Amino acid sequence: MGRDGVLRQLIVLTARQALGRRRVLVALLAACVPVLVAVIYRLAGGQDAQAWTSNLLDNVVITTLLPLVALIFGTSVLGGEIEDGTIVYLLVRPVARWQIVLAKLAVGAVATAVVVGASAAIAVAISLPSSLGPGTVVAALAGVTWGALIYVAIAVALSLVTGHALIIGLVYVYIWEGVVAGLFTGTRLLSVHQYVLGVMSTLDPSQPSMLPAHLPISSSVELGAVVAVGAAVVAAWRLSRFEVSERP
Amino acid sequence: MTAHPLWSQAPVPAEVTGAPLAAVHVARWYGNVVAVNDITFGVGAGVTGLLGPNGAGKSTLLHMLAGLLAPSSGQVLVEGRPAGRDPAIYRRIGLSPERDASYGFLTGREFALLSARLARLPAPDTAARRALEMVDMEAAADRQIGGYSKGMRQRVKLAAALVHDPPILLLDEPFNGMDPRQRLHMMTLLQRMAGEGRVILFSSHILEEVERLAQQVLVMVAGRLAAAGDYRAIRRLMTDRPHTFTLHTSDDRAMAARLVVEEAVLAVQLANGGLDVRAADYGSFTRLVARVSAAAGVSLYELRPTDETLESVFSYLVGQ
Repeated sequence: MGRDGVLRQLIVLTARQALGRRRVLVALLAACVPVLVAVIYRLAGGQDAQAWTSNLLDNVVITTLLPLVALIFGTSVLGGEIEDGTIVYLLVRPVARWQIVLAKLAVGAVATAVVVGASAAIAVAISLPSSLGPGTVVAALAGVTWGALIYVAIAVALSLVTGHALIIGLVYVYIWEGVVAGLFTGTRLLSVHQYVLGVMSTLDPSQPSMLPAHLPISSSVELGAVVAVGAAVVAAWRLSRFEVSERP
Repeated sequence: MTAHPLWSQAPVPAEVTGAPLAAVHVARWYGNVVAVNDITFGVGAGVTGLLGPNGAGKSTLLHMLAGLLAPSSGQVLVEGRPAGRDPAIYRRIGLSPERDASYGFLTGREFALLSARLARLPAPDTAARRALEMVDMEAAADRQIGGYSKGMRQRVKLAAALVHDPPILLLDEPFNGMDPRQRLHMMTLLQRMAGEGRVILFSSHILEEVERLAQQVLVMVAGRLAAAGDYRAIRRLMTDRPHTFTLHTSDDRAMAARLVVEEAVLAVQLANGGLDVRAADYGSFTRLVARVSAAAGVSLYELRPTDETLESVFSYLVGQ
């Protein structure tokens, strides 16, 4: 049984464990919000669909839904095993710690991208069906997947550093990404939100894109990769020094 | 019976460092709470019992031996190499943790199979089936662990611990939650595995479990190694200590007068409707009391040892 076998085992296990947790329901409920808002907008006979839809995508999906869902999944995939104490069954095996982190990341990122991507696609299909060319959908999914990966990597690392990963993650997202990065242009370089926009609008074949980007795709990919890989390395390093807790 | 003087930093003998599993001046503290206090021992083939009351530091010690917890000072050696931060040691070690955590959504078979695959075994299906058979869990293997009884979860944990046929087995309270029949089955299994040359270290706070299974014992009290060595020597130490008994008889005063002249009796006290007796040791007093009551024509209603808790035995050992 080679490396792929072990990785596949870990991925299947993680998918079954993390996706069965109650928190996932919260993520699914949150994913319904953009769709509901789009339905209400249509029923009210909404005007200026282009501006409204771009606002929905930027402010509701990318700024709010994506980090929320990513943090929920990202703190569940590994944090859930730590909370339950089952992590010990993975640690007593001759498996490199980075492989465990990689499997957890993959499941968290894919689950997040699917949930957020589906929510965005359905919401846009309702509010502005004409904008949904195949190229635009691919661009949006690429952006969402990229953001999902980075946010999940941060959440996995946080769940190995603190027992309050979800709370700290939410505070970081809504203070830093939501407020500070909007106030100062310099902080855009350090904003996952901007990396997502950079990927999305550059790949979008219908230019000018619906969403404004402040970073070129190269910086969005490079800086995003630095953050994601950095967080994954921190997580693998923490896991290799992980100590089972028996005292409060 | 070797008592290890505390705080000693004397050279560690080669039979300790050369043992398949060794702790050398191992200590672990959490803040200013000392959980394990300068413990040195070596464990060889056979069954060794790690005996101690709850909270003595047994789990902390086992986790350090399993490389899941770094000692604050000292060193753990697994087959001569330092444990910790090297996942390769888990080909040689099997651990069954005390904490009752499980993947409730997996069946017993899926859990054993997962363990076999993560252990990178060449034939995981065969290994999983063999492990489940060994712990007598084949019949229930296709039900979800979430619906298992505590004893069944214990046995599945044990199956996972021995799925890769490790030469060293660390079992933390393995008999918790098992019924007497399962317990007996498990003891027979562990004895057989020890007979094959394996190193088996199991912890327990129940004297009888250790008595039935272990040839060697480590006794831990309050983070310290109170005694280490052959079980019988330690048992003798435990029984040869002064014991107190409470007696209820038809005539306590007459019985007291007869007992106090006996050499095996150290003190007699008439107290709250009974008779408290302090005897020099367990065996001679229990033999003597029947003879004395018969000779005095006193009926013996009740004879009860008053200090037979494990804690009292341990605190006596620590005082040694």
